[in-house]
Amino acid sequence: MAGLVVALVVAGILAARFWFSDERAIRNQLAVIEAAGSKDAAEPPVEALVKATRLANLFGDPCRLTVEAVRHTGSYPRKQIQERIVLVRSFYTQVQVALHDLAIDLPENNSAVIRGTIRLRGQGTNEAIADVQELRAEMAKIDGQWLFTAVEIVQVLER
Amino acid sequence: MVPPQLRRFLLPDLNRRFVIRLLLVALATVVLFTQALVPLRIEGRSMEPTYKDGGFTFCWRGRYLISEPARGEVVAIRFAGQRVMLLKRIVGLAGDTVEFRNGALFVNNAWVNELYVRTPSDWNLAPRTVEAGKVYVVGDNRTVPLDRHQIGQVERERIVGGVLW
Repeated sequence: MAGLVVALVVAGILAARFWFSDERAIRNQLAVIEAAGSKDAAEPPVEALVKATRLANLFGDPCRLTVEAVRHTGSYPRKQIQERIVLVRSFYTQVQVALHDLAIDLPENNSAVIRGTIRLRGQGTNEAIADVQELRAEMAKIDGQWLFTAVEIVQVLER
Repeated sequence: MVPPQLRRFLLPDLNRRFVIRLLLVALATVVLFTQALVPLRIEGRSMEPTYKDGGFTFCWRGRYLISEPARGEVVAIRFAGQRVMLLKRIVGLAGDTVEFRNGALFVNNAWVNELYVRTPSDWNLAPRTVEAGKVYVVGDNRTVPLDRHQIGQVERERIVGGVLW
């Protein structure tokens, strides 16, 4: 009986540590990408704007964006990122965003490095769209919130 | 009347020995299908007609443990992990020059007869040399416009394995 109680207490402590951990907080932020990035066929414009704002609020102001395939790196303010999100989402009539194989490293306090695969599946104006990219991102804890400070689209296939 | 041996097989006694055997079988299954034969559900048309959208195969991770990938082989290429992979065919090895002229593949300036390609294409791609430690991969479906098709050289270490069929 005592063993069971000890096991339950240890399990409770471990669960609480995970529940309130930085990793958990980061995973919650990443879940917003999937939820707010995805779009239903009948999404009202107001909802589109709300989702774009939610997505933009994940980014630091400014945030460094790198696209290896076109050798582009730039630092963008949050407002500009939000406008670009609205534009990109408008290309799709319906889209599903999913993140896979997430690896979260916390090399030091209040900073994190994330690697993962992002997958888009949906419908453009005239054709089905499917895209997969590898992401590498840096996040920092700013005013208690984990925000992206750098996002890089890794080039897996180089033409 | 069910024979006793079949009855024992279908409805075994839930004793300690059975539980241990069950756990070992479950463990072996998990190891087999995560480390050796990774199930692949095919989504997308980039490898048609060889691999159709909605098809199924396995990635055999042991394929390149003692041999190197060769031209013409279909390989699974990982992104950040193994949940999402690309299926592509190797057309060029390190040091090769790869080029498309009006849909025809040329490797080291020699035309390659690609029997697995069933549809004509108009792809044009200037010659490029595959870097050391990389291979050049292309999908079999050439009806997709080149700018929307994921092709190119990829690090050898990203190749997870070959396909089982």
